[in-house]
Amino acid sequence: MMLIKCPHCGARAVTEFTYGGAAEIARPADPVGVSDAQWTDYVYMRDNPRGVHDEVWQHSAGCRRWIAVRRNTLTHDVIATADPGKLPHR
Amino acid sequence: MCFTIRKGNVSVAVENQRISALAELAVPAIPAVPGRGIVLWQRHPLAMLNLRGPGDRAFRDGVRQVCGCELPSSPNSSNVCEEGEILTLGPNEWLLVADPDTRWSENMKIACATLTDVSHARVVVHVEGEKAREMLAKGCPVDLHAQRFPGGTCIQTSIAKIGVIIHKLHNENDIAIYAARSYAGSLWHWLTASAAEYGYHVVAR
Repeated sequence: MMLIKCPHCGARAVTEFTYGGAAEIARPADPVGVSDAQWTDYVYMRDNPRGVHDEVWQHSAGCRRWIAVRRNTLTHDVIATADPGKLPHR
Repeated sequence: MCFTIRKGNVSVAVENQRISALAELAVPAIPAVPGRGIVLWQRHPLAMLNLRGPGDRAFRDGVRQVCGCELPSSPNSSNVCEEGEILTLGPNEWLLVADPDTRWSENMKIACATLTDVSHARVVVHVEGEKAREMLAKGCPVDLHAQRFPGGTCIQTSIAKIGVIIHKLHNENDIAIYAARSYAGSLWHWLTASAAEYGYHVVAR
């Protein structure tokens, strides 16, 4: 069982969490001005790294907060967790 | 608590009926195995208020002055005081639990607080007995052992995929489970099925 350390509730089973995708995907500052290709890139295109990946998860069965999780997609090691946007720089 | 209904052209104030979601289910039963076992009982009726606020010093002082009860200071914890209990639900969220005749109400004036009466939202079942922890471990991903989960601990998690609040009282073998009332039947089914191997009694308290 993968354990994720919620910054508020402590280590909990992954079944309490909902995956929210890659972290820090910046919404275009000028949504009207971007091209369809740029918009498609923002909405759909994601890296699929083998290794360390920054993600957002929601502690949906716990405090219901969104949290940031740095996880190794190969080993499932949870390297760090924090409030959204607060993961230390890699 | 009262509310008003219309009968023809006349408004009638009626006492708010506190009918438990387990009214037909949590009835005293013959123990499946006599002797050591699980005791199940429903805590009903209850007043519950959801409290949200910043959790800073001024807010805590306000809650203490108005409610006469200190907010729990750490995550996953609770405070029991004369008027009732305060359970921590999240970094800015608490649940106030008390008897229905409590003076706590959503009209309390606490600076920066949002209070919502959620008395009808949940069903509360207590699981008691030496085997209570072992039994709940069948469906709960959190370690309820006293070393990790001492008396007074309060968490939100799931039991058999049903979202619950688990509050361990200061008696190590008394665990209160709060679930949405719409899940009451499903939770009860799971509890009685899981308690069957130890035997269980349903009692009225």
